[in-house]
Amino acid sequence: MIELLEQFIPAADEVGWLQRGEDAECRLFQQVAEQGHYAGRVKPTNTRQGIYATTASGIMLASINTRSAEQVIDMLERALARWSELSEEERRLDDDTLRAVTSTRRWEHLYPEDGLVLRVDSRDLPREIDPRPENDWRRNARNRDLLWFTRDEALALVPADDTPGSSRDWPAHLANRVVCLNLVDNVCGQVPAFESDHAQQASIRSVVDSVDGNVVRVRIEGRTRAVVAGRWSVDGFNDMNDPSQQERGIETRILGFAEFDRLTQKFTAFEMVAIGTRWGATQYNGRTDDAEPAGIGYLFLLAEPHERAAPAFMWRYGWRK
Amino acid sequence: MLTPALLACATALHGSIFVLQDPSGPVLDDATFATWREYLRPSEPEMCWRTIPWRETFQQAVRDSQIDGKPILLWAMNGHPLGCV
Repeated sequence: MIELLEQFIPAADEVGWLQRGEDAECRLFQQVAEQGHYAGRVKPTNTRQGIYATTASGIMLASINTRSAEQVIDMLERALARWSELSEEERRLDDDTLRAVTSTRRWEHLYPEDGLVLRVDSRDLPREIDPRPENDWRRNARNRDLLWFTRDEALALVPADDTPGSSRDWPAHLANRVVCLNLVDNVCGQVPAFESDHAQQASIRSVVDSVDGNVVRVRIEGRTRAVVAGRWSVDGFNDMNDPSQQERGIETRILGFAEFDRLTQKFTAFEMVAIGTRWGATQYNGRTDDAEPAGIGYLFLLAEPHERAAPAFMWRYGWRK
Repeated sequence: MLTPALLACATALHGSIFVLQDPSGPVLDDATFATWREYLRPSEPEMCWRTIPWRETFQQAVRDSQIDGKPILLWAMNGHPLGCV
């Protein structure tokens, strides 16, 4: 598989925007997708999820939507065979279209180079009784998201006074960002974010623990709770036209430790854990048969420099592309 | 990596992590922080797919395909595959 992949330019992207957008990049994807495995599909949904091998010019070489490594290998081999049949001219995009495609504004372009970028890993906590089958993939499921702060926002997470014991409450809009956009039950699948008025408690604060030269060590503590009730589907396609009364929520306690360099004005270390209880289900988050209260956990760590995908609910940040 | 089985063993021995000192949920304090951190941290095998040099956007792949003369392999999902899916 790895040897085959080296013959490609691998990319990953969010299909919802690509299949609905109207700019040049989206239109190019749509051109490819309509040659693929879900071409023309409208039921049960119009998704174009999948793995596509394509030329830059938009000639689809092969496509599939599968979790099978063997099927992906077969697809890659078919794609390379088709690629070899094409001339260089057929493979390449014209200059004007290339310029249009690569100049599309993306959320990724707002990556806060001088700010704080965290990756957030979510996972179910261990429990004595799990209602799901023994070999259910959800028992070991994980998910991940990103969390961005601009430079000024990151500064607002650190007490102004370096005296040990000095504290600073995270600004409400930043605590709400964490509670509503990251402390969501996405362990087994996608889930809507909470709205701001769903956040019943969003208390996070930083406390100076010690100072060592330019580095301030802070302790992060917090309590969060978000709850929403309403009518929605909780079983994928099975009840998509038959929503029912539901409630979902998450409450957590937060504890973390970070180091902030006053000289560079950047966090040099960041570890934060949120542990708590989740309940309820949504249409695609895989909790149809597992909606009773159970433990959930989140780990917030500094992202690697190459982890530049935009957060899942980036449009809720209020940042402009 | 701290698996659920190991965590359960640790609990049986130390009995601290699942003791509900606070009836609203499991214990998170200075003593349990590291344990929870390691339980929540993905293992190396779970992250091996990140060793592939994924471009975060389709447009980056189009640009690099033109430069390198290679076909594009695009993994497109609801939810960015390199983030939350």
